[in-house]
Amino acid sequence: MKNIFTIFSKEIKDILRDKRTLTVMLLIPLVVYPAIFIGITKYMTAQNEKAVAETLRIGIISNGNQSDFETFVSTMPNTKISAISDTTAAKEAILSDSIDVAYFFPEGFDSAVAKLQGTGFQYFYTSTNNEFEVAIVENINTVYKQALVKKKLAQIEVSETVLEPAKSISRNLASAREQLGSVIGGILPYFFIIFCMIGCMYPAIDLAAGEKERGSLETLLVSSASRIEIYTGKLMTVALSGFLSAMASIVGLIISGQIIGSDTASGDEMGQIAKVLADILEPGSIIMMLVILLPLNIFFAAITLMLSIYARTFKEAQSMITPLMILIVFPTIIGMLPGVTLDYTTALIPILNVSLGAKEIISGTIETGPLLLTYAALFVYAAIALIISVRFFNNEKNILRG
Amino acid sequence: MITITNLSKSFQLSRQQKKEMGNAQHGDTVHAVKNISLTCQPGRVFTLLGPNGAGKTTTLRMIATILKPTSGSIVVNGYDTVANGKEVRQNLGFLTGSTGLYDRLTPDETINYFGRLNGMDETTLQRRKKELFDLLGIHEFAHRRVGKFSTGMKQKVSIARTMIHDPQVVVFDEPTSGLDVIAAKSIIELIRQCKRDNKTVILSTHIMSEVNMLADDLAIIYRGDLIYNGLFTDFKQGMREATLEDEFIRMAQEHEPAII
Repeated sequence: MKNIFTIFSKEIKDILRDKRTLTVMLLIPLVVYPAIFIGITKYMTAQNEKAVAETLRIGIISNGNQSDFETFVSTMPNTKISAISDTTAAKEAILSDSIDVAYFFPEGFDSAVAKLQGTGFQYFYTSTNNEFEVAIVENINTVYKQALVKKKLAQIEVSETVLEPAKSISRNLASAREQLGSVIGGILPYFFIIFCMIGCMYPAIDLAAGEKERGSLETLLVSSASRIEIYTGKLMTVALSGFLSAMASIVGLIISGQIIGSDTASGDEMGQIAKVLADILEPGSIIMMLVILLPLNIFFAAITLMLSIYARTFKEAQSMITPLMILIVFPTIIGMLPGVTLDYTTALIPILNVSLGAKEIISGTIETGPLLLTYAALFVYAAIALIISVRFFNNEKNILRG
Repeated sequence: MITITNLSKSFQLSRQQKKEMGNAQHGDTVHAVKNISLTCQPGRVFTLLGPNGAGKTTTLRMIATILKPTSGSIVVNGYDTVANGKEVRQNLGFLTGSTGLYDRLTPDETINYFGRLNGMDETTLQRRKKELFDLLGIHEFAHRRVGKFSTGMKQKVSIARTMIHDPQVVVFDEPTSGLDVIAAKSIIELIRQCKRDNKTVILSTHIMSEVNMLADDLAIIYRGDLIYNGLFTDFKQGMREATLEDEFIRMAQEHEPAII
């Protein structure tokens, strides 16, 4: 036990002095990712505000109609109307960015509308227009058509209720936490699973393949420490690194959520999501997630250490462990998809069970049975990975492969 | 004291290894060490001579408990390497040409680490560390990280690490390979000092001049077979060739004429 602690303390000191490991383990999840998250949110908010403040330039080809479209549009904020002679001029004006959209009303449009003969108008735009402009134009079209209908109904003295004799009103019984948690709950496990793996990866490569390459593993094996003590000290270091990295990613997300949430300008969707993310992470959820994280952490540490022990060199270990990321990202993304839930089958699939379990813990919809099965499955997988990894370390063929 | 009795070591080859070895290898097994027996006495330098790939390092790794023998036994200071691995390692120091140090640790931290792993109490460890640092002149760089040290400085730290627990048996596996003349000289001096201190010293080398300078007892190992085992003075007296190199080649040729 004393030797395990000696090895563990030395390895921790060693990795804390390694700038590359520290960057990957702590700096990226704690600073870089939140900075990107905050940056994207701020940028989207700024773009939104800019789009809302922008004036929509509308050209109208009236063809002699006295339709009230112009009057209707002029009541809308941030619109500027100009008359256009024909469709050729309209197309040129749009392509040269003099106007954003052009409306074409055919001859006799007014009378056709009045006589309910069925007619239509065209509008020209480019699909490269930004999505806010497109949304405003579509809103103008809908509201204008509704206004025509209301006007006609009023003329013939028919109630507007004829259009919708019975209204359907939905009442969603899911709490705000459940609704938002099911959507954004997938983000959190994605982050902590990926960073747990990354946090294990670099120390594992350095502590086994790196030591083998530098020749220091042989001298360590000749010390009085037993092989299992050496392995345990190294495994604890790798696992702690993965755990800290995963925690750093959670802390990073909470901090960025609070920063964005506290920003009064971020009343948009991203800002609200970030705020909820910070709110729903209460201590109970965090403890339940940590219990899931622990066996996952040991599972990752054992696998990365096993491959690193087998590898001849640092480079070979990197090329063996890096593809594992794809195997981990895949079930993590599946877990983020809507409709995929934690049940007695998915609880047995490693990584997917963590992703789904954490998602449902966050949204507060977790059921005890599948959760317990997830814990049990994860502990069994971690134990299997450990047994194989220890056997690898004890095999002289692997340890001296080089 | 080291007693080796009928020691053999075989390795199973993987498909990849077989492919890499091509026609040179027949079958799935390599017999690295074949049924060797020898004894290393305290206060004497036992030299294991042989070309690269002869089985010297495999033998030393079995003595150091890194590898397990396929058959036979090794007893180090009364402890069997398989049954009492920990006790063997407590009595053993192992030095190779590759310094195998941790770049991000200082010499002070490195020596503390290995001293503690070898079960030394704190008082003895600090006293012994001071003695070794005085002897090897490590004090001036004791608290700087090893990463940027010269080979000579690293070798000094490596020696201190090997000797910190004052082992009674010291194994040197080609300790001067890759070292400059000054660093190599400090190793030669260390081996002489171990002999004066009545330690059991086993030195593996393929450098004839080192054999000439240091050997009390000599074993020549060739392709896993022990082709000579005896006093170095007897070996020199019985030489049929003018130089050690020529005598070694003659013996190897006699052992396996088709290859040389």
